[in-house]
Amino acid sequence: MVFSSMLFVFLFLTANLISQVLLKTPRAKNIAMLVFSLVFYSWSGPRYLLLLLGMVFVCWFGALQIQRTDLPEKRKPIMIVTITICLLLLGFFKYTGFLCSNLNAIFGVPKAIPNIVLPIGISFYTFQLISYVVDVYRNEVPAQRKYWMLLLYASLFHQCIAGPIVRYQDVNEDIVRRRASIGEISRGISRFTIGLAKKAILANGCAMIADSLITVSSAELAQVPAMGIALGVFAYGLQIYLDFSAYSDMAIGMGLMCGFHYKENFDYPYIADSVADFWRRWHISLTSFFRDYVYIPLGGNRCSKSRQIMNIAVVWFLTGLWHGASWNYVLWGLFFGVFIILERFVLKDFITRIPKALRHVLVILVIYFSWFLFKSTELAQAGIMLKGIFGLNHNGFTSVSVGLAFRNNIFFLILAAIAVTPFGKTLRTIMNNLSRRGGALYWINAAWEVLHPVLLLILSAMALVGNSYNPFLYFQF
Amino acid sequence: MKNRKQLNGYVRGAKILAFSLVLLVMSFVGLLWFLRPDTSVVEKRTLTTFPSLSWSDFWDGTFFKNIDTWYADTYPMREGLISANQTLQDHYGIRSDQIIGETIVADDIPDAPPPSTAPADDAGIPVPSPSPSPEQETLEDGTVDQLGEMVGQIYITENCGYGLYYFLQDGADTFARTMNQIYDNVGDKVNLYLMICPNSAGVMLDDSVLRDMGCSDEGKAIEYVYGQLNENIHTVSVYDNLRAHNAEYIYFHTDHHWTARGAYYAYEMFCQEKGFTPFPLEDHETMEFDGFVGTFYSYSNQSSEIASNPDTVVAYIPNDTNDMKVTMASGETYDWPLISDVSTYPESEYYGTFGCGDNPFSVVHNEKITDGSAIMVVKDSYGNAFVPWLVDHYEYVYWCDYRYTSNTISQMVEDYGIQDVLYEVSIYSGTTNNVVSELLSIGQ
Repeated sequence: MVFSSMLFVFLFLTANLISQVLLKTPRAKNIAMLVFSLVFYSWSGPRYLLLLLGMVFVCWFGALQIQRTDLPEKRKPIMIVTITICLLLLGFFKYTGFLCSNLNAIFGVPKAIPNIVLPIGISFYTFQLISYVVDVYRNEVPAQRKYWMLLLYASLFHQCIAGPIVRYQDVNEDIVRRRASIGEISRGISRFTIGLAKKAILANGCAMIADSLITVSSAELAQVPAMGIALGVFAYGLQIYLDFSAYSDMAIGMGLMCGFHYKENFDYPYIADSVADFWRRWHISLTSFFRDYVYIPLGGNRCSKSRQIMNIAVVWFLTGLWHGASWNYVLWGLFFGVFIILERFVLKDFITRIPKALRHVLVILVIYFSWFLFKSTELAQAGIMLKGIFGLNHNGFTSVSVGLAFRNNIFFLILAAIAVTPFGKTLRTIMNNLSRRGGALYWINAAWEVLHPVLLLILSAMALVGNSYNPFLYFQF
Repeated sequence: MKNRKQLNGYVRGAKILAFSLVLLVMSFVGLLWFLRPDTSVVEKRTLTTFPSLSWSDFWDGTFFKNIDTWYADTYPMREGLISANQTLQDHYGIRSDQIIGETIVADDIPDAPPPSTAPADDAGIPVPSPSPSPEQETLEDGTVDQLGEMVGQIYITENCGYGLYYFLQDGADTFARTMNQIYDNVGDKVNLYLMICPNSAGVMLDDSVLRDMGCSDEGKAIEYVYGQLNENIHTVSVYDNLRAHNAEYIYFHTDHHWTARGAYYAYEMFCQEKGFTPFPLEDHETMEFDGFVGTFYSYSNQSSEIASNPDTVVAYIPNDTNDMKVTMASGETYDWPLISDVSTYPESEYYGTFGCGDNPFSVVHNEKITDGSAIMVVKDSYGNAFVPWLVDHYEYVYWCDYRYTSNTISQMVEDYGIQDVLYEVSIYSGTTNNVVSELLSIGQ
């Protein structure tokens, strides 16, 4: 089940919210939330539920064993064994095919490449459980004694299959006792409906434009003129942010409605003025995971320059690999790693001297070209797109279909481009400030406050009914 | 200050109430199973049914995925919501011209050997006497050279839809081999004719527009197939005659079919091949149905440009008879008018005036002709508007839709004594390998 579906919004979510309102005790609320979460997860096939239950059990048991002793020589092996089991399971389901195809390419064996279906959300909940075990090991959080409570944390449908990667220490208190204030419920409603509309209207609209121009077939892609590639990648860049941040918005919004407080996962990444800044704003929960559980344990910044470079390379290799078992994702991660290394060690003085606007343009260009790798299903496709945008596929500058795709959607694309900036947030702040003066402005602002969730909900329902085009890019991770 | 704080609290309360109310109402409506539609008139399809449960579907999640699809696909008021969404999307940009659908790369059309339409003398098939060619040089050029509002599988310009065509050689070769196989099967029993019908884009749009969109030359594609056929198969080339009349109302604006007038110009070419003299168009009584909004409306997800330009279906009644017998898919047989009054049908169904739509088997007996002449038309829906033109030439006109029938030509020869068999297919079917098994099963 995905958030952006009629069944989820107009049956599952409604029933879930009703249960949270009607049930009074935290225990009853948690049991209901767990049941809803397990149903939600099973919706993609109950067989994957067994893996989730098993992995949670391993981490629950491991964390309890870690807590049971103060001896570091015992705690550390238990932590390593627990994490290794999680990573092996993740590796088996996510990377076996990739590994075998590479071995096959080099050594000719194995002959048959296994086709293992990736359990939904495994990358997200594995990282959540790893963070839990490590935090228990670091004595940053007490181990959860009740298995079902840890299962609730890992399976919580708000974030289980699409993030953000919520740390146990951030929601532990909310799981045990939570209460949503009127203000939080109100904010949650706005956040959820904005996320839903962002996904159902903007992200899906951008996806249609991007996919009509950047085709899956390499033969067809090689026929697209330069402007088609440029427009297609532009639309894809908007889509991927709107799509992924929409899911985070919906997760945060649903959390607020029920009393959970999830941290922000995006902070307008397209206004970044450096590549490092972009990654402080993009998928923040993943970046901070790698920072806290990989980069800093490797030595972080407190080591020699060559070691720092190695640490950065490892982190960005893993970031790429986390996004997908394919070389184009690995290269995508390393592509950012190279720019972060350049920013920190080579161009540091140069970057601080150039105007901020120019820095911003340069960063946007780096991000733009990174989507060539991310959008491709194989490396050769990225090459075709790269040649295509510079006219080296000899398809001319533009074509009728490209011109029409642009003209037919020009207002929509402008709106989508505005939606990735803080313009809406700023406008909202201005409206709130103006409304404090009272009078008509107050009531206009109040009317907007009351009506915008309803409006967005109806617009989203319009877009979702009968709309078969509803991809979710991060579903595979 | 306290008052403002209190007011803000009321505003938040009203917001929560409004949201909850809409969420509850829409969820409640979703539960009203008796309000859920089971068919879509606009999309001409049966909507998704609630999935049946099996262990494998349950275990791998297919069952639940299908429930998702069913819930959204049959949500009450779905067509109204889709239509409202389309209205919203009309404001996404400047949509005087559009392309809808994914990019398709056509194969180059190889130069085929010249088509052989003259039957061999030793085949025992009478050589048709040439009938006058349509006077093409005097006709107005109605080629559309405007850029449309939808491109891709469908191109919309000036509120007219055009289905685009992309030649794929593998499909064309397979289709040609299939027709040759059919000739090998039945060529000694009947005169075999083939008519591949171009679509509106190929006939109506300017070459430069088609070229810019990467579409294939439909005339050339048809001739490529014809050039590969056994020379004893009579090929009916209709493309040039339709193109010459493209200033007339020969294709619908909102539907992928040709009009009865378009079918008439194809009929002229059949007459030329067969040696008949076509009856003048004007000598027929007509039935008209205004407000037809056809398949492009649903293909374009209810484009308002298409909706704003409804068609008029003009059906020409044969001079000799308008009575037919139709055998439905259920096996039941009915007496029905060949051109029927569909004014009480939904507007999207008006093309059904021709021959009662697509059915497994139909026949017209023209009692004014008593020479025992009989033709069998193996057709897709393009044939519905074409078949009525044949009625005044044969004592018996039989037709079957190859997608629904289980008849074979050999059996038809035995049962009904047919002499001519016309395969009439749209260019989509006539240059693909999607329908060869159905065509072959009839051509036994």
